[in-house]
This record gives sequence, C-alpha cells and structure tokens, in this order.
Amino acid sequence: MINKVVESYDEVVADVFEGAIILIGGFGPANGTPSNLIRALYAKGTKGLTIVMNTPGTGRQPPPPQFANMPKRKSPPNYDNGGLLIQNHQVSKVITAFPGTPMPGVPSPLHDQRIAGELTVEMCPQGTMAERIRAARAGIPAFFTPTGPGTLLGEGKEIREFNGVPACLEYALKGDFSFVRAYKADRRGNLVYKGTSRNFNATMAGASTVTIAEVDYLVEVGDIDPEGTSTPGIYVDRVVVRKNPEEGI
Amino acid sequence: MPEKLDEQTMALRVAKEFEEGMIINLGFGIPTQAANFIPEGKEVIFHAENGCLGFGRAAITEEEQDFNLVNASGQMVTPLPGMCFFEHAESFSMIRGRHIDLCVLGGLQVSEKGDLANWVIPGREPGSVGGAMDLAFGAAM
Repeated sequence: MINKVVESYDEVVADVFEGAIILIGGFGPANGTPSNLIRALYAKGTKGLTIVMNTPGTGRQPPPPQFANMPKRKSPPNYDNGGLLIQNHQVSKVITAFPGTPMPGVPSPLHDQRIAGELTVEMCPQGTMAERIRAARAGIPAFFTPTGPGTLLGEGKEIREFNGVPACLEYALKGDFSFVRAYKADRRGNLVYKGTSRNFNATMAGASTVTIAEVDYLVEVGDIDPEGTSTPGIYVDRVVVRKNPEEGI
Repeated sequence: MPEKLDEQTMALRVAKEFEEGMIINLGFGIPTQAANFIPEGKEVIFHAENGCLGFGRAAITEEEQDFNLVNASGQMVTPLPGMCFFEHAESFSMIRGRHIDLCVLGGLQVSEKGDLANWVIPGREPGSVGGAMDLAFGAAM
C-alpha cells in the first residue's frame, strides 16, 4: 500500500543535510507557511542551508510597530517563518523576492547577517522566481523572460531579443527539499489548499528531490475530489499531519 | 513644487482609471486603497499576485478575518462570488502574459519617460522587488 504519511515533524526532516537547498512555501505572515517543518529544522540545527522563500521574514522578534495607515495585522497561532532559520545562523544563502525593509528598532537577521558577510542574498523578481521553480518541476533547465533586462536584476545575465523584446536567461531553481503547507491530503499525497495559501506551496511541490507537505487534515483516498485536486500526489513524497490544526501545531 | 496629494485623493484619482470589465492588479500600499473607490455601476475584477482573482473589500470584523484570504499587501480581504485561486507560477503567467488590463504600483521616483524606481534605495540593499518588475513589464504597451 502506498502510504506517504510520516508520523512526526522530526522524522520527516531527519535527512535534511548540511548545505541543502530548501524551497519553503508561503507568502507573508498569514498565508500558508509550513511553520512546523521550519521549527523541526530549527530544532535539528542543520547549517549552511540555502533557503528559497518569497518572504523569509525576521524570525522571532517583538511585534513591529504598525503603520498608522494600514489595518492591524495578526498572525496565525503558533506561526513561525523562515527567518527563524536565519536567526539561528543556519542559512548561508537566501534566494528571495521580498526580504522586506528593516524597521527602526526591529532587528532583521537577514539584513544584519548580510552586512556581516555571514550570508548572501540573491534577489529574484517574484514572477521569475515562480517560473524558475515551475521549470525545475517541469524538467526545463532554463528559459528566457522579458522581466529584468535594463534593470539591476538583468545585469550579468545573457540577453537575447525575441520579436524585438529583450529577454534574459534564467535557470531552473531545483531544491533538495520542498516544504509546502496544504489544507488536506490523502495517503497518496494528493493535496488541496485553502484560499490564497496555495501561493508558492503548489509551485514548489515537485520542484525538489524530496517534497514534504505539512497538512491540516488527512482524509481517505477518494475523499479528495479528482476534479478539484490542486497538487497531484505524484509531486509529493511525504505528508505530515498537524495534530491540532486549530492551534497551529 | 505643488502641494502633495493625500493618500485618499490619490487612491480616488487612480480609481477613475477603472473601466467596465477590467482585470486590475493593485500593488502594495496606497494602490490597495483604490479598491474602496470603484466607480458606481462598473464591474471590475481585482487580481492579487499571491493567487486570487475576484476578491472583495478588506475584512473588517473579527469574523470576516481569514488567514487564507489575503491580498498582495498581506491584508485580509473578503470573498466574493466568482472568485478563484491559483498558484504563483500561474499568477505570473497572467501578469507576464499580459492578461491584466491595469496595474497600479507604488513608486519612489518615476521619470518623464516612465522609468520607474520602486524597490531599492542605493545604500539600503538588497531592497524588495516583489512582483513589481514583472507587473511593470506585463502592463507595458
């Protein structure tokens, strides 16, 4: 019987090795972050990681001062972001579209460690990052995109013109591990997401040697609507289930 | 130097560009506020780069707030009939593939030719490009 379900978070990340490339899903604080997988890797302490994450975040910090003109944000219960791994000095490279701007009085481990020369940051336009990950999943080694030429992020890249439009060469971004967060899974690894938490999670599923899905609920094979499966199980290697979805753990 | 417009006035002015049937992407910050000024009687669809088409206004009450329904600013919004979700590569296929009719971006500086500076300040690298570069290209022409 095919069964991709692994019992514990610790067990499911046990083979993450030093220097591994980890693709981590999510988009900002409130939106489908595999917090328990991040915490398990934090507890394991593996170093020299490259993390690929749209919004790495700042780890565990006192709450930032709210912008007066923006509604108050809240975070899901027991939320941790990829910045926790940076804060714990486990990361040597970050590939990202949105590291954020440090706010006065709120430390940003990514910015601090970049200045100290502890880690490097590769800035990637968000759409290019998504497509590089999709390309890895689809077995396409590289592609040309019109985003970048004429800007800082096109510098040093091979440029070619197609129908009069300059485009730059970008390479597939394959990981050793993808950490994705989904709503429901079955034992075959078929996934359904909730709302906008699909974001980079569904892009990253299948784009690494090993894809691990952290899910709220495990359902029986046959319970996920074949017409409404967001990520076919073929892209998922391991599933770990939240014991208390409401508490975020 | 002319007096600066306040944010609400800027958002109101932006919303005057909204036309019937448009698919509109609103960037982080002030552009998001333009969603509050849709011209009466016009049907427009908002696109969020994080994978949503057709969401509604900002969530206000506790009951309305849903961590799994946010716009590109990370602000929680409300659902509307006809809304749909998709993953990031699909979302940027819509953007780069020029399927979005109008995109509103925040900016630091803009030249008279339309060159836009909006994601990094020299000396304060690495900046945060987000989806702006893909959006600016996808909305060109």
